[in-house]
Amino acid sequence: MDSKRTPLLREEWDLELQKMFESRFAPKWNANIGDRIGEVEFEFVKSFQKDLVYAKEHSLYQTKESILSFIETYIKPSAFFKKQLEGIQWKQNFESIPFTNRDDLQSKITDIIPIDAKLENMVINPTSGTTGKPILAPNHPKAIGCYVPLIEYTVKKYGVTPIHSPNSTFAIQLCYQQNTIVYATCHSLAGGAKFAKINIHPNSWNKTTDLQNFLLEFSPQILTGDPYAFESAMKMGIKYKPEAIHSTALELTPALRNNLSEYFQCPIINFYSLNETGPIAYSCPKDPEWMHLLPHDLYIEVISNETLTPLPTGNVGEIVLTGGRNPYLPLLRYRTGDQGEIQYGTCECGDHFPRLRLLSGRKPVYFQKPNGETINPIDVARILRKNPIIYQFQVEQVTEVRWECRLSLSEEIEIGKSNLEKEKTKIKAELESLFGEGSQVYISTNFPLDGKKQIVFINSYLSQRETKI
Amino acid sequence: MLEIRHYIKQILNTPFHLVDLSSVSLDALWFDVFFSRTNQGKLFPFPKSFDTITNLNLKAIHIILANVLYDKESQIPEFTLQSFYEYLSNTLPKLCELVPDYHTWTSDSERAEELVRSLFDAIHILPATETKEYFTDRYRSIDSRERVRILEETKKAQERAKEILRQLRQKEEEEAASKYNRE
Repeated sequence: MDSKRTPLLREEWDLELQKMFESRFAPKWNANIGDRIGEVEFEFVKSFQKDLVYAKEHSLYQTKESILSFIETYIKPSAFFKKQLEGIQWKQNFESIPFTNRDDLQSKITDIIPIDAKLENMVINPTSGTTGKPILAPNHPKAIGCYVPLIEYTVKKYGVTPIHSPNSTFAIQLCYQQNTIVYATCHSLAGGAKFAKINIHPNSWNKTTDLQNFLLEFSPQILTGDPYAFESAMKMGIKYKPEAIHSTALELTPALRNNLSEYFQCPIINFYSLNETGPIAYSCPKDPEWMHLLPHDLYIEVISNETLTPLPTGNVGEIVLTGGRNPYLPLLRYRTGDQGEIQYGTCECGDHFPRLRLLSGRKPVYFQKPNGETINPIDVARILRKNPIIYQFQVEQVTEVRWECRLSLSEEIEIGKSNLEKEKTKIKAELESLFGEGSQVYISTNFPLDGKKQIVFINSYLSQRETKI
Repeated sequence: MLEIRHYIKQILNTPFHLVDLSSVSLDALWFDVFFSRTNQGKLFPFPKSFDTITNLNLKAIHIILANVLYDKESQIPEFTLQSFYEYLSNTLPKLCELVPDYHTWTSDSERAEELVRSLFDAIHILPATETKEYFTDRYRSIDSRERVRILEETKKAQERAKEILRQLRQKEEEEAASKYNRE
């Protein structure tokens, strides 16, 4: 570790962290990442945490009246805000404010970023791109630092007390991919407690027993990851009992939640978080079908899919967000593309912030190789995302051996016909190598590029088989 | 006051064929203008001489304005000499920099309108039938200084946009900040 990556790093934290790096059970580390929290960021997050706790205690969530001051702050510095609000009585009529969509974040990012924002501090946390057109959401370490108090707030609600000590490992993030970054670090905002991101795929370990031993050696308080990773861990027979499991990124079905809870013998916290916004909501400890709005600085609306007007409680529509703390990405009625309903009022669990019930979320889709092995779609996304000419894509497994890969290509990047054919051949070869022997990939380039949240991965082959069974 | 079109016409009809630009004395000219307007000026009206001006284009703009103000039928009311002096000393040199060839002021009707509006704006008078809002709005839309300011701002915004896109690409390659979960 170095102090550039973790500016507040202390010697005793580093000593503990070295034990993790050098453990005989350690995975094959392939990246170095720090929290990038300096004094200024530290103070920002602490102040955010204080406001969060106060707001939670006093049920002070954002309303369309209270969020106006946030909007006011950005009218001058953000050309996008200025344009969106020009000529309308937005203070008197919040609903007259035009929506921001995913496409705006990609095509108008230079207008959204406030003119006074210093670009040197920008960071980009890459997304796996499992839900449509990936958005390169610029962020600031101080806003990413706020994940710590937000996540800690949710685990406390489930009876877990985070230990702020370099001897402790607060979380280990699991994933199951052919390739991904694997690293260990410590978080200044958690008193130097350790954190590691590991890949449970056998590719990532020297010996098959290492993963199990690594978890036992560092005994993280919680495990984070997506349902796919947890299900894989369960199938692999990993024996570890964390204090809680923190699940994000994909829809967690009630059946899988129950299975995970039984298998790992701990509470399962479902988390709704977007790269564009950071954490949004977490599952209620009393009724896991509902998720409480988590931060105090986000205003949430549910709008009708037909009329695009806000819906009263009890109706399902699209989730729209205003506010947040990302200095590069202030959100003004941002249409998330996710569907749900909202409910207000007190809750038995003690968190009286509005509750969301998410619908038709991001269901995990798995592909199957002709030899029966499963493939994580993130590996597919990784191959397609790294190619700059691809803006959006959809991959469907149609039969046991046939895959269709639909691409929409950037119009801005001029690519000759022969080069395009070369690119397609390259992509086809990479995907066929991932999908295994006997697989055939068909590429088309007329996938619509309309900024909508598209279903990216479809396995019609497996769903047909399941229906028949 | 008359409507703006009368003053524009006056500017477009400035009798430059009667003027020898290099030898004309601006101080004498302004003395005559104010003597004719007030009938009481015995002294030069401004605290500093304008005869030191050698830029013929700037001299020409003085002459254009003197022609507008000399005409008693123009119905221009009295105004404070202080603000007029500041206008001649500060605004005119800038306008001259932005529109260097004086013929432009007398051949392009929009520039002629800009010149007369910039004068009226400086000495706080309004042409007949115009509200203050209309006057300001119209002046802003044809003001060369405003046009240059907008161009500069646009250029700055374009440069910033370029820089943002460059940084976005660069930051995508660089390491991120660690966070406990993924999205």
